Amino acid sequence: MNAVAERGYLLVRSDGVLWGVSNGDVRRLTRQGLRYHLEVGGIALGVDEVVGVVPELVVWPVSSALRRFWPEKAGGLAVHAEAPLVIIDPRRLPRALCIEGIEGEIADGEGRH
Amino acid sequence: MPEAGAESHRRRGLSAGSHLLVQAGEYVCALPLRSVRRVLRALTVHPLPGATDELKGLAEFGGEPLPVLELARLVNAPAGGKAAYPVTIVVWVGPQDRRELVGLAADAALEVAEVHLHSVVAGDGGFILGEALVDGALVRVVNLEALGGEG
Amino acid sequence: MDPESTARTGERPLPEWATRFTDNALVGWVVIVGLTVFGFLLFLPGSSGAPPWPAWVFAAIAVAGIALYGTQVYPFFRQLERRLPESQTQWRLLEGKLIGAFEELGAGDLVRSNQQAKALPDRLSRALLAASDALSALATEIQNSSIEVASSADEVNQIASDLASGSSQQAASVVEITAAMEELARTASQIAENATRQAGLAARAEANGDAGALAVDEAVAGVEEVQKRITAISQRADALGTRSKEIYRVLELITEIAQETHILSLNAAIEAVAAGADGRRFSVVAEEVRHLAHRSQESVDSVRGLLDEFSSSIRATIVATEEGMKEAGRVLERSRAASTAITELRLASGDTSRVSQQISLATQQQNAASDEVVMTLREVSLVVQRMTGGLKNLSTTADRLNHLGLTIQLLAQSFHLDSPRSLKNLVEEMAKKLQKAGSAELETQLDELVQGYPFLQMGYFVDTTGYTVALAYNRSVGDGSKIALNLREIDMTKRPWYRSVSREKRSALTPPYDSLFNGEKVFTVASPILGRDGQFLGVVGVDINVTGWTRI
Repeated sequence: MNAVAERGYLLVRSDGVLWGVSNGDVRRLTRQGLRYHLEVGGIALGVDEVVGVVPELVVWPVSSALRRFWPEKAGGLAVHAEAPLVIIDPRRLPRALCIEGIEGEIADGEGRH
Repeated sequence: MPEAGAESHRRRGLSAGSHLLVQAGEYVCALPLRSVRRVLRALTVHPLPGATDELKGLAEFGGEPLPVLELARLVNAPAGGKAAYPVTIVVWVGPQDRRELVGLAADAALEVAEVHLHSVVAGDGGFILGEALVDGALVRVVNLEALGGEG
Repeated sequence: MDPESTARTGERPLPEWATRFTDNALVGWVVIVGLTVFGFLLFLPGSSGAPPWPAWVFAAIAVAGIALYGTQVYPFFRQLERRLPESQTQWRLLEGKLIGAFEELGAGDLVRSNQQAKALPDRLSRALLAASDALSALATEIQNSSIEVASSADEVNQIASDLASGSSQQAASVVEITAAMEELARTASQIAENATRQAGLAARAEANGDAGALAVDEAVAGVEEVQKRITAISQRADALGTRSKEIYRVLELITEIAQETHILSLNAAIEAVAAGADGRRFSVVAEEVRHLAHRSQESVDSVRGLLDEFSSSIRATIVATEEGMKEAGRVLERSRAASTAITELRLASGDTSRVSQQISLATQQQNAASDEVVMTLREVSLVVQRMTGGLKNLSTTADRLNHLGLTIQLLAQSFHLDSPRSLKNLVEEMAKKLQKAGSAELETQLDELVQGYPFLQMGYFVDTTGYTVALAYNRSVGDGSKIALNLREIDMTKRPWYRSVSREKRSALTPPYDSLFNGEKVFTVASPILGRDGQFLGVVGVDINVTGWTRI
C-alpha cells in the first residue's frame, strides 16, 4: 500500500462528503451566504462547511477497483477521525464541487495553472 | 458436476474449496474463503458523488480508506427484505500480483461451506463465476478476481 | 120655536099653527094678563075692606105687561112672521148641505165631506172642516200606528222566531252537553277507579323500588370491587409488559452477542484457512463457536417466540383489562344510573301514588259535580223548552198583533183622506189619470202607476161589462203574465168590490181574501171611473198583499 504524507490540508464538507485540499493549492476562501467558496487552481469550488485544517494526512492512491466504479479524478484518499476523505487534485477538480458556470472550463478534466 | 466441467474450471483458474456464504438480496453468494480478509458488522459508508450504483462509498477499515461495493448489485440479485444484521466482508480482489482490498456490503454472513462448482455462468456481467448447490440450496460463486483492475 | 127641533124633525114640515108667530104671541099675552087678573082677584078680600097690596101689584104687572106687549113684542113677532118663509127656505138648503156633508163624513169620505163643508156658512164650514181635519188626522194617526204596530209585531215575530230557533239549538246543545256530562261522569268514575288501582300499583312499585335500590347498591359495590381487582390486574400486566421489554432488550443483547460470535467464528475460520494446515484445528473450534452462536441465536429466537406469545398474552390481558375496566366503568355508570333511576322511580312512584289518590278523590268530587251539572242542565233544558213554548206563543201573539194592525189599517183606510197614504185617495187619483188616458194608452198608464208603488201587487181596470180591459202587475212580485191573461177572462161583476163600487159610485175597500193572481192574502181598493157627465165607465182596482201592506 502506497502512502504519501504531505503537510497541511484544508478539510471541507459538501453534500455529506469530506474533502481535503492541500493548503498550498488554496488561493482564496470566501464566505458566500451560507456557503463557502474556495479558489483552487483558478477555479472556484463551493462547499457547505469548512471542517478545519489538519497539519498532515496519510494519503493513499485511488485503487483501480475504486476507479472502476467512480469516474471522478482525485489526488488520493485519506482518513481523518475514522472518516474517509477524498484529496482534491488541483489539476483535475471534482465536478461535484465546481460552481455552476465554470463547469465548462474543466469539462476536459484540466484545471488552469 | 461432470469431471470435465471441473477441469474446465481449474483451467480457467477456478477451484473448489471453502467458501463463505453470504446473503445478498434473494441470492446466496459464495466467496472464496482464501480471498476473504475479514467479516465485519456493516461499516459506516460515506457515499461518493458521481459513483456508479454498485459503489456504496468509502469506509474506514484499519485506518485505511476502503471502497465498499453493494454485492447484491454486483450479482444483479433481486432485492430481499430488510437485513437484520447487515455485514461488510473485506475481500481481496484483482489479480494475485495486484490485490486490493474492497468491502462487499451483504445482508448477512451465513456460514463457511465447501462449494463445488457444477455450472459456469458465462456472459452475465462477469462477477458470477458459477453456480453450485450447497445442502440443496443454489449458491452463486462470486468472481473476486474480476472485480479488480479496470475491468 | 126652536130651530133645532125643526132640524131634528128631519123632513117633517111644521104644523100651520106653529108658523103663526103673532097669533101665538097674542095668545101668550092673554094668558099672562089672565093669570095676573086671576092673581089680583085671588088676593082681593071680601066686600068689606079695601083690596090688599098684592092685588095692586098684580094689577100693575098686568098693565105693564099689556103695554110692553103692545110696544115691543107684538111688532117684533109681526116682523119675524113676515121673514120666516125666506129663512125656512135658506135653512132647508143649509140643512141639505149639512146633511150631505155629514153623510159623506159618515161614509168616511172626508174629501167629499170637506168639499160639501166648504159650501156651508163660514163658522159651520170651519167647524166641520176642523172636525174633518181632526178625524183625518186621527185616521192618519191610526194608519201610522197600525203600521207601527204591525212592523213591531213583525220584528217581535222575527225576534221570537230567532229566539225560538236559538232556543231549539240551545235545547239541542243542552241535550248534547247533558250527554257529554253524563259521559264525563262515567269517565270520571273509570278514572277514579283506575287512579285507585294505579295508586296501589305505585305503592307496590315503591316497595319493589326499595328492594331494587338495595340490590343495585349491592351490585354497584360488587362492580366497584371488580373494578379495583381489574385495576390491580392491569397494573400487574403493565409490570409484566415492562419486564417483557427488559427481556426483549436482553434478548437483543444476546442476539447481538450471538451475531458477534457468529461473525467472530467466521473470522476465525478465515484465519484458520489463512493459517493453512496449522489452522485446521482452530477451524474446528471456530466451527464449534459458530454452532454455539447459531444455537444461541436459535435459543434466542425460541425465547423471543415465547416472549412474543407472552407479550401478546400480556397485551391481550392489558387490552382485556382495559376493556374490562371500561366495561366495569360502564356497568358501574349504568348501575349508578340505575340506582338513580330507581331512586327517582321510587320517588315518582310515591308521587304517583299520592297523585293517584288525589286524582281518585278529585274525580269522585268531579263525579258529584258532574251529577249536579247534569241535574242543572236538565232544569235548564226544561226552562229552554218552556221558553221555546213561550216564544211560540209570543210568535202567535205577534201574528195576531200583525193581523190586528192590518185590521186597524183597513179601518183607517176605510176613510177617504186627502193624503198620499190614503189608498182610496190613491186609487181615485189613479182613476182620474186613467179617465184622461185614451184606451190605447190605458194599460201603459196603469202599468206606470202600479210600478210607482211597490206595495201594490197589481192594478186593473174593469169596464162596465165586468171584464178586465187593462191589467198591470208589479214586476217585483215576479212574472205574472200567464195568470194575468187568465184574469182577463173572469167576469168581475160578481166580485164584492165591483158590486160595491158600481152600486155606491164611491171607493171601496175589501177585507183580506185569497188573490186570484197568486193565491196569497190581499185586499183590494177600488174606485169608480166616471165620465164627464158622471156616467159609470168602470172600476179601477188595486190589490195590496197583506205581507207588504206596512210599506204603504
